[in-house]
Amino acid sequence: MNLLRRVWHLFVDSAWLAGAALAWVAACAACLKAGLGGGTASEMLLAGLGAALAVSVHAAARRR
Amino acid sequence: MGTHQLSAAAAAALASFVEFVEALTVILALGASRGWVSPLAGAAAAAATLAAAAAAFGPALQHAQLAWLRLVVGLLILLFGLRWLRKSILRAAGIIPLHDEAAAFARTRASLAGLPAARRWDWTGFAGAYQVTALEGSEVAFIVVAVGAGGAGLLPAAAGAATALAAVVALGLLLHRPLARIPENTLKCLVGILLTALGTFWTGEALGAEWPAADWSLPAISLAWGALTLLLVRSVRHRRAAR
Repeated sequence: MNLLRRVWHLFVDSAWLAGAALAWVAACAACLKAGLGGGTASEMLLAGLGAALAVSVHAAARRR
Repeated sequence: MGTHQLSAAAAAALASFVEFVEALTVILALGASRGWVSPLAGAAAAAATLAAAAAAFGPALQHAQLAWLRLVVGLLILLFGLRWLRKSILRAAGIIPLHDEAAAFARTRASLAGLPAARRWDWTGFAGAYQVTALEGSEVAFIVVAVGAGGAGLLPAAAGAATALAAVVALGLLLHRPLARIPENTLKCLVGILLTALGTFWTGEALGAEWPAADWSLPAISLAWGALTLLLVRSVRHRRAAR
């Protein structure tokens, strides 16, 4: 159990941020499949991930 | 050396430096309290274990050019980088305390004070040094293997990690005390930025997104993450001061 917890914390400090990042990547993949341009998809990916980090940081700052 | 290799080598070197500085603090405390032979042997054994693991998994993953594997590696580096970045932003903004090597050294020495006196071969010293080196080094081994599999090649990342290890060992031998003046959070922040940029780039490529300047987009993505980091540190500090 300790090893599993260690592996989990290696990648996830905030479950919300990890979940939001993965969901956004999935959304970008779906948009690409639906015909979104490759250039627009890369901008969408970067902007969404940045927004997820900003929300997560501000939420943590408010909580503490 | 291309932009991928440079970023990978820098991320591995900086991450290794920070992680090995943290391990050095505990090894120094163990050595000063219980003698040097066993802690040094423990650290060397853990370093050999990690190097063997990286050598076993690294080349195997590097030669697998499957699209899904590149996506998985990109996502893991992205999550790993975001975790480092979020934590260092919260530390820089004063939300969570900075890591203090001098305090960690004192804490470890105090925790060892109640134990029975060490003999010539000391399992406590060996196990303590093995555990801390393996724990801190596991992140380094992951970075080396993952950036190798992601497309930057194993060699630049391994060279970066080895250089950092040599630097920390040399500083430890020279100073014999914790490296308390190292700007750990700044280094962690840089690692977070580099890993998040590499993760974003490789995840995008694996999905089929097109980066405007191909490989040369990587420095621009790193700058974008760096600018966002500065902005977030300032805005959180500002909000905190306004409360």
